[in-house]
Amino acid sequence: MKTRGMIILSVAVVIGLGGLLASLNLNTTKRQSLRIFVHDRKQALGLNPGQRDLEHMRIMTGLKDVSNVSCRHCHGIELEHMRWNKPRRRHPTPEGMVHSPDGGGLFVALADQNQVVEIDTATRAIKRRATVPGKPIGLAIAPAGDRLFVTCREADTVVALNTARFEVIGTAAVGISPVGVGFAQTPNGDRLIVANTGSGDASVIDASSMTELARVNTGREPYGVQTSADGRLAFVASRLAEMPHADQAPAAELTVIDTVRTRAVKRYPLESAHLSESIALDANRGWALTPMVRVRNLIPITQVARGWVMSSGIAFARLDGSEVVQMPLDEANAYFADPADLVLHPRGHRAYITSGGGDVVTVLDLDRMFEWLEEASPAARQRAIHDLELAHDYVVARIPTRRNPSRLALSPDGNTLYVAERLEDSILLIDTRTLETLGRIELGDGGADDPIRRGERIFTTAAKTFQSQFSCRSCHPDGHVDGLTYDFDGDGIGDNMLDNRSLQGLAGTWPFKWNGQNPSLAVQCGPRFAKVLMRTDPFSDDELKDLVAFIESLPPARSRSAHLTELTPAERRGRDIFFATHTPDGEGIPRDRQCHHCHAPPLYTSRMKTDVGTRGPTSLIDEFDTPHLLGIGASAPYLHDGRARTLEELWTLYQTNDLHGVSSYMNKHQLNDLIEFLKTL
Amino acid sequence: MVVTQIPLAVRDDFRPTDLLDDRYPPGSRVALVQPGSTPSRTRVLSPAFHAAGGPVIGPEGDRVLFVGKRTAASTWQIYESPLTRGVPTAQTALPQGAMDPVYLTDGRFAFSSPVPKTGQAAAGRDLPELYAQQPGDRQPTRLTFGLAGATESTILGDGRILFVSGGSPQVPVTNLALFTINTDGTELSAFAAQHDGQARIRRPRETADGRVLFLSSALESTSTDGQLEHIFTARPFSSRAAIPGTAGMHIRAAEPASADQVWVTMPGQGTEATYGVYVWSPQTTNQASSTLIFDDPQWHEVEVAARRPGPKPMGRLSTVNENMPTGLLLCLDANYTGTTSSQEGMAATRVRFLRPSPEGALEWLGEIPLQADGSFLAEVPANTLLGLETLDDAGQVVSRLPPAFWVRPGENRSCVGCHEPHSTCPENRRPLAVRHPPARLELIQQGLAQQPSPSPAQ
Amino acid sequence: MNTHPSRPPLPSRGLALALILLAGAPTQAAAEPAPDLPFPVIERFENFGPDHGIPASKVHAVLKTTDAELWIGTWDGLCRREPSGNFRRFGPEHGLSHKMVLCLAEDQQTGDLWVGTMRGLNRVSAGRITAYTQTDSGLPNNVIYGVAVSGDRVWVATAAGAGELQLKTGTWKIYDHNNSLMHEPWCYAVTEAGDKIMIGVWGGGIVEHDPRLGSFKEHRDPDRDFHFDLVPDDGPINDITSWLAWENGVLWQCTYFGMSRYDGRNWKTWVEGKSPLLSNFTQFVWAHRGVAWIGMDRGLSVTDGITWVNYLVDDNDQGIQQIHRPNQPVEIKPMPTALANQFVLGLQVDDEEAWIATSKGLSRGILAAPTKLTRLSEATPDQRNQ
Repeated sequence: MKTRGMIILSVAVVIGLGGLLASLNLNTTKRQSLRIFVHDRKQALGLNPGQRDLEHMRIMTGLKDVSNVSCRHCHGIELEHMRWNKPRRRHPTPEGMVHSPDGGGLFVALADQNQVVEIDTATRAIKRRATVPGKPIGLAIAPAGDRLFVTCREADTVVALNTARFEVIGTAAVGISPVGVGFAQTPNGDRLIVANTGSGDASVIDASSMTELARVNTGREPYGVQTSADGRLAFVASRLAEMPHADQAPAAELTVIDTVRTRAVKRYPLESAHLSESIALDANRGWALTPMVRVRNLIPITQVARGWVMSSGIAFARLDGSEVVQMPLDEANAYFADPADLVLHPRGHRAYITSGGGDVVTVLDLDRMFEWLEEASPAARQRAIHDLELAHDYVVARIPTRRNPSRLALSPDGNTLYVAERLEDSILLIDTRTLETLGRIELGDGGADDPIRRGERIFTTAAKTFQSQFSCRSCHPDGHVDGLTYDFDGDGIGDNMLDNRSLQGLAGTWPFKWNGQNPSLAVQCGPRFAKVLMRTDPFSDDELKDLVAFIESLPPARSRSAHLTELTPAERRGRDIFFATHTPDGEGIPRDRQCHHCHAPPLYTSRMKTDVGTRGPTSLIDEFDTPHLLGIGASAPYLHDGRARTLEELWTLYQTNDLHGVSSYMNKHQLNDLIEFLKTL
Repeated sequence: MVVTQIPLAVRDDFRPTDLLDDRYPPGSRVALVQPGSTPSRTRVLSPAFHAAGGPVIGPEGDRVLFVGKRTAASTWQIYESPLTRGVPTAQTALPQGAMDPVYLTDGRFAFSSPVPKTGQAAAGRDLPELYAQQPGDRQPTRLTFGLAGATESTILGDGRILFVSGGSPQVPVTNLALFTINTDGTELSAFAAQHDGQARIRRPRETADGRVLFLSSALESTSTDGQLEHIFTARPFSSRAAIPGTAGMHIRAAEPASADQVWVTMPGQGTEATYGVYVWSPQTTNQASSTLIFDDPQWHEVEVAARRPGPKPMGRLSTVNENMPTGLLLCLDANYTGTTSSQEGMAATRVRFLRPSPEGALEWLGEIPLQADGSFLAEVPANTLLGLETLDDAGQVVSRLPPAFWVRPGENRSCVGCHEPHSTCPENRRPLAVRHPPARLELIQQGLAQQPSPSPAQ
Repeated sequence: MNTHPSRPPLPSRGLALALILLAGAPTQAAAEPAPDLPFPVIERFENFGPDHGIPASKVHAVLKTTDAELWIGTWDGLCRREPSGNFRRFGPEHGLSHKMVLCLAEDQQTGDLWVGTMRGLNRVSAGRITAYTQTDSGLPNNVIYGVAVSGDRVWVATAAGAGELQLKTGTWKIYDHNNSLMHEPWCYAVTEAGDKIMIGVWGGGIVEHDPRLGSFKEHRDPDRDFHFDLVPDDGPINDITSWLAWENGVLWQCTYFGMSRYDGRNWKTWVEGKSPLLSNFTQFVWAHRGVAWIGMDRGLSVTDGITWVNYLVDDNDQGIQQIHRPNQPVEIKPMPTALANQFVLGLQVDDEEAWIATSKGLSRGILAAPTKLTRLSEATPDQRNQ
């Protein structure tokens, strides 16, 4: 009785409020907010929306059946409310590390805190701190030790620090999102080579004047840089693979740059490999080594066992360019996901490699690896990466670490290996002679009380997949895309590849999955995900909450230089096209074909499913979830099956009867302008 | 620790009628003991049982499964008992008995049934199959379908069931080897020892340091003791070796107890010595250097169970849809053997599916062509032991897989090739077969292929 | 068409031969260098074709990079000369957007080679080919007649306007009749001209673009007559610009109706019949040390504006060299070898050699040892403008 009475009272209040609304003198925003509130309460109480509301929704959505539509599809969304736009706790999160030439100091980039610190390696205490804005991440030191160079990923710069005063003494503008940096002493002067992950190129910088000399095209998302001992060459490892077509094998690239002549001189394609983030050079033996993940995205994911989805390895590239051999790091019944950094012991017998998803440092016997390489037949070398029993020959040890080990630094004498335990805010020390751990440098408290930090740990651990084969991060590095398409078998085995979508800027853009079936991230990452991909138990409720917190904290991807502060004329024209309600001839564009109708700001998605004529030859549905456009410039390929390699192709190849926005009136100028605008989102 | 204690002497008129009778003569019991303690602190977990043995400790360390028979005339069934207090409760009631229980990660347990009769040949329908069941449910789900036995189960850290089998029932058993399946019966796979000559394997157990240890004896051996061997899970098919320091030891059972310790049961030294529980560690060089941790002189301690060291095994959600009579089989290249593939030329152009008939012969299910890259995608009957033959243009058999696998209802099963090395990952190449709907075998089209999924023989 | 009073009329080819025959005198040996010429002459040709791995006889473009790699664009693929002397082909199977290669340019900062084809633009960099087409990028049109690199920008002349790719940002800009002075979008040529860009518009003369100011300036034929140069030296000889080249402040214009030169203030025009220019149908020009090497349908003309050396192929496939000195009779000599074909489509000249792309193969012009090599002609400006 009491409950029924409360309901009746609630209904009365709501109806009353609705009537009151009309009589109040409220501004549009407040009226709107109150309207949304009333409508929400009505929905919660199972009341039908008013006729006026229904008509409004029909007009604005173009749908006849609006039973699944709520005010919140279009209203009440503000970017300020997005988790990624709110202040959050900043953790030390150690990234790049480099020793001073005498080994007495270890410089560490604390990316999340915009700091670079120097640690006294004897006392293991922080000696000095320098504030370096823009998310410092990669470090390189001049051989004399007088200058430290730091890439600032969010500022699109590389800065030079005077190590005596620990102050910034120079800044050079580089490409988008610089990460890796290498120092080279050349006959023409000191050079820096900076890998710009966001612009797909490497900047060659005059390290004395801190000016950019040239920009060399690399693979997609160049990440790690290693210069040769004579300074003449720089090797750049690229993280993402290029996929010529949605059903063709991808390949990442290892680029060799002549630092004197500022040009690429060699490009090694790494077949079906990606996520290479570092390189080591064994000049004596004549090879370059880079960790990589061998991906098998073209095969339906009917299982995870036997490396079916991916496996980790090292690519060996002969310095004479004659071949590349991929050798496995994983084992027949255990995987060590997300290999991140690789360093060689100065004496050349051992290599050390971190597994960011496996929480180990793997120690490799290089003598045995090279012995095998030299003795194996060409066919055996080609097949090596697929042989999960091979690594047992040369893996010396797997040393457990704390969460998400990433960068490595070897002391100049080679006796101590420093391992950045990224998501524990600590640095592990390992004695390379005994392989015993020597202790840790604690940079912070690890952040276990921060749900976003806990969520990132879940995101980066491979322990939640069968035999720890991969982590969420394996397909979503930095929470973004890997640029590949995959074939999930949840809807049967068939020719239905699906494009990998970015998680950056995802907050508030429900529903999820290309068919829009998953109403929330918790459902998206819930039991069904565990069933079709993880092949393990699902995340617990607490784990899901933290994981969602982390994903929602990821800001949108950036494909535009941080040095641009205003829209260019082309971008402004493109914006006008995007928001156009009429063609230049004055003809009205139907509401449901206006770009901003489905891609409504501020998230640039209506969060509804729509048929825009993009059904593929083997698709099972016509309507797809409207993807958000934040960061769209950086998340190629496009469409649900990844068949559009670039944004242009959405309209030049895959537009059907102006269903995906009216574009038939556009000339190439206008299409270019529209795309320039889209890249600003 | 939980041990199986068997009497020092067995009645002269005792005649074992089945495998477990032989293993656990009358009077055998399951008991909770403390390492290093006196026998007086023993707590019998199978009070008043005619015989009991084969204990397995649960993941929380608070309960144990074992096999037992209440009376001489009863059949062997699975019982569960709390470790600290309480009485055992029967978990199965199968007419042909049950054995080799193992806890699964989802709260169920798996076991084998029937219990083989003494002297039974390793062929035919009466070989043990694996089943899984909820405690107290009495409605087991069958997990294996017609291999030459499925026994000695244990659970791996990755959540798979590891068990011992003779492989295809169509082939004379030359050795027992290790196989895995998921806890829903999907993804049957060879694990180790498939090609190791005349050998019998028992009691596989995963250690915390990346090995699986087991007991090995000659195939025809009647002794229940064996040599302690191991394989490295990193290289299961080519790392089999005797565990250092165990040469010459007659071990009845072995159980990993911690990261670097294994508990073994073996007789002490001397003709009158009884079986006790010893510790093997990396420092062990021979029997004399192994440490005794428990021995009740009134009993032979022939088995020992420990709480599984290391993290809990990973669970998994089942992909089986019991409403579907079929599953799918995708082969990436039926001409791929590890050294040859369809890229070098199509030796085989068709594949034929077979299954054992009730009479033990082979029954034809249908043929489908291979795609130009050697791939095929076929809809096959579920829960049916299947075999394959690849055929060339002239209809000659190029390679043969005797019936040795199945798909579960709704399972999407895949393989790389045909007789390629076991631990081989696939090439990243889109199989042409997925561009077409799955080929339906003729027998399926005729509605004749489906066999009912039998419950344990009533 | 006016004839310059101080310059004798050019004898026709047939007449020249007749004179030689009538004279009965042996011709001068081709191997002897001409000591008084202000630029090198080709003493003989080496020709390359299918026997050397060139997939198609029609060679549209030739370029030697700063790394001394020789590249040619043919009707059936892009080729690179290997150390063996033969050519290795790259085609669509290697990622090239189309087999028909029309133009080549090098980014000297990075060593990347930019290749224009009938269907898209390509970047060749350390062995990797990346293609851009009008459907997958901001490229205005797939038909790339001309390509040039200026700093960190790549310019293309296409059938639908000129395109500018900003390499650092990946941004494309299009210039056509919609947003510039072009009368139509069909662009045949583009070249860097100091801090400007010169665009040759087919039927639109030359459009001069200042990227810093974003401004355009037109250079049109003042005569507005397609067939005749009514008033010589008053501007571009014709609006149908087929090629442009720029060097040290001097712009050379090829048209279908003669040649022009522009030094920033003054124009100089040449037409066949009234100058030693072999043909009005000029296809290509390469400027090197103040000397223009001009490709036409009837051979190759080399001139500093005053002295001309022409290379032809007669009806008997005999190579002919004509030397036109100011105020002197034409010197005509047979050559030991001839151009692969007289229809010259592309040129690459440096101090060592000249490479000539022709309609039936590739020729390498072996230069005679120069006795007088000037960076710029020593002629006075007035003489230049004669």
